[in-house]
Amino acid sequence: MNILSIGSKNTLRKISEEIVEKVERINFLDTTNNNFLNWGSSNNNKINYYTGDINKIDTLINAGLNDADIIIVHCENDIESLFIAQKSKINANSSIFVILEDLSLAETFESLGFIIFDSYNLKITKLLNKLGN
Amino acid sequence: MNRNMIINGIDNESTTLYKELLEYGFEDIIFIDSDINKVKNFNNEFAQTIAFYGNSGSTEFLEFIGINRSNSETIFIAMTSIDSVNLISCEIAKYKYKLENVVSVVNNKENLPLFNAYGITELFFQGRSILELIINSSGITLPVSLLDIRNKGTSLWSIKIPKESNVIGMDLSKLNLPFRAIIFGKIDSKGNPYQSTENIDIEEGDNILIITSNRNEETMTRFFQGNKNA
Repeated sequence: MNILSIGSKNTLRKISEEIVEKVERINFLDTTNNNFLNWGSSNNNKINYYTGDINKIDTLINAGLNDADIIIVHCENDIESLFIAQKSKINANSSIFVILEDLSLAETFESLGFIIFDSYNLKITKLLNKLGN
Repeated sequence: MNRNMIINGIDNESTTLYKELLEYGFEDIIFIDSDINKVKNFNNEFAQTIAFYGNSGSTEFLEFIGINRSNSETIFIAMTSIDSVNLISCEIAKYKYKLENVVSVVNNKENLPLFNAYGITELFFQGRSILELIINSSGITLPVSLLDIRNKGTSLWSIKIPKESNVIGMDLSKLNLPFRAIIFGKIDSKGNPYQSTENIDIEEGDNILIITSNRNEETMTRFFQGNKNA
């Protein structure tokens, strides 16, 4: 499976470490590569890094949105994460996971088809199940 | 039933907007913004506090300022310069608090289909009139939405055929669009209407009337432009 991971918070880095052996490719995308550089170099050829204006569909497509089976979003704030998640929903077969700081929005956006994770209590069972754990 | 109005976003026009809304009989109006300076400056113009500082993505804040006030019909308007803030705050208003009257400004044309797709259909596209003036003066004509078919993300469109259009000379009844649409017909430059079933050539200056999804707007624009404008 191909993963598109949008944002560069540590939650995404931790998730990638847990799933990298189970997937074909993980593409990371954020506005800048500052955090990616702080993560240190990765020798894993499954991982690619992209930067650009994540509010633009062209940027998302250049980072592999069309080929992504799973999209994981954790941006600067919940509003941006939810907006990017909705913008990324161009393929009915892809699953979109959104990591939120404020879970009071979870129910509303789960009803719109997104899978919500709690950034303060990250449990990725649903993601692992999707990957056929 | 009482009505209260929440306006998300303060700008240079907010004072005028507030006064005009009062003239229309709306009394219970508050503004919210995530910029504390805008809130302070706005409140300084009035004797009472009508603007509040906070995050419009926070349900706690939205409830504090009255989004789910009992015995009141809340009208929510998002008019910040950031589309993500406008879309998400409108979705919270519409889907979490079940508000029926939700209106939003859209700043970036690319995001119009996104708002429509998620049911935020009472929209005002911020840059449209200026954009149309500039684009039309450069020889490209943009489709104009004549009628929004509510909650469907679909519109009745009119597009004027520009000088270099590739469709000039094509038979109207055989026009094959690369997207799902109903072609109603055309109105020629003299104002004569023709049905889409008539075997008549498309000419420069004709207006073609089409029903299609709003997401096809850009494809439609490209299809009807000439090579020189593409």
